[in-house]
Amino acid sequence: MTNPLEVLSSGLSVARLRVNVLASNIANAETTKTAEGGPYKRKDIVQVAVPNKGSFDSALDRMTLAQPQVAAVVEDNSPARMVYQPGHPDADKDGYVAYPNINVVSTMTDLMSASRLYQANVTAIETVRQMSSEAARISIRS
Amino acid sequence: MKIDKLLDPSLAGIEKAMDLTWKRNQAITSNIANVETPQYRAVDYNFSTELDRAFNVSDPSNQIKQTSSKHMDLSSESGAHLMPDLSGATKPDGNNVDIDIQMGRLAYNSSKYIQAANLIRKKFQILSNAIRQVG
Repeated sequence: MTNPLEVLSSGLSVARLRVNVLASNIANAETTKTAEGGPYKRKDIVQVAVPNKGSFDSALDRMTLAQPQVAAVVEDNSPARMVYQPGHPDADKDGYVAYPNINVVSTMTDLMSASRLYQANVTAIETVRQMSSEAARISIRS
Repeated sequence: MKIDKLLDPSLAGIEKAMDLTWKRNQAITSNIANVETPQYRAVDYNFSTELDRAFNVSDPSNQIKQTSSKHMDLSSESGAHLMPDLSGATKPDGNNVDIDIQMGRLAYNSSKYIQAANLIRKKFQILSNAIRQVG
């Protein structure tokens, strides 16, 4: 059977990546020029569950336990937010500046939920660790 | 006298309870790790049915009959009792894990595990006291 700590640590790493991507989106909400040209593009992660089909036992299971994993980090290709700023160095010939299509408020709430998710995984790891140490105490005479 | 006569017969039941709570813990942790995974469906062990089965394994009427020795042994414990957990509502991304239910279950289930571990330890303590306090 799967080691719960293994599943939870992939949960942690996925949650951390999610926080990093959201932080990058917030930090670059007003970035109008990037190395690739054009404004910054909002990034998002594609998360998948990888079923754990290691042993014969788990193959017999009607359902399997799954480990979260990040399949890809994708860019949002929705059109940029055009703001009329004729004096801006990145303004086009009509005086419009392309800003990334990022809603800072909704990104902040996503960030909060991702950090709660990280905490939930930490709590679960702490619980599993406590369970294991209790089992180890069976052999200790007090 | 066999040594296992010294041990309480309920020890096997407690051992089984630890085994099952550990397995249920695996299902719960898998759900917690996949709260944000699109299309992930929550899983759970049906704990009480499993435990009943574990305690009644000595009762022949509860055992599945094997008509050939080549058949798979289904009476013994197998891991194949993971089932869909429908406690949470399905979100727009197809995921149905309710983090609050799962965290509550994690706390409940781990305390059950710790209780069982403590019980086993106590039983061995009682036995070792009985052995040592002679004369």
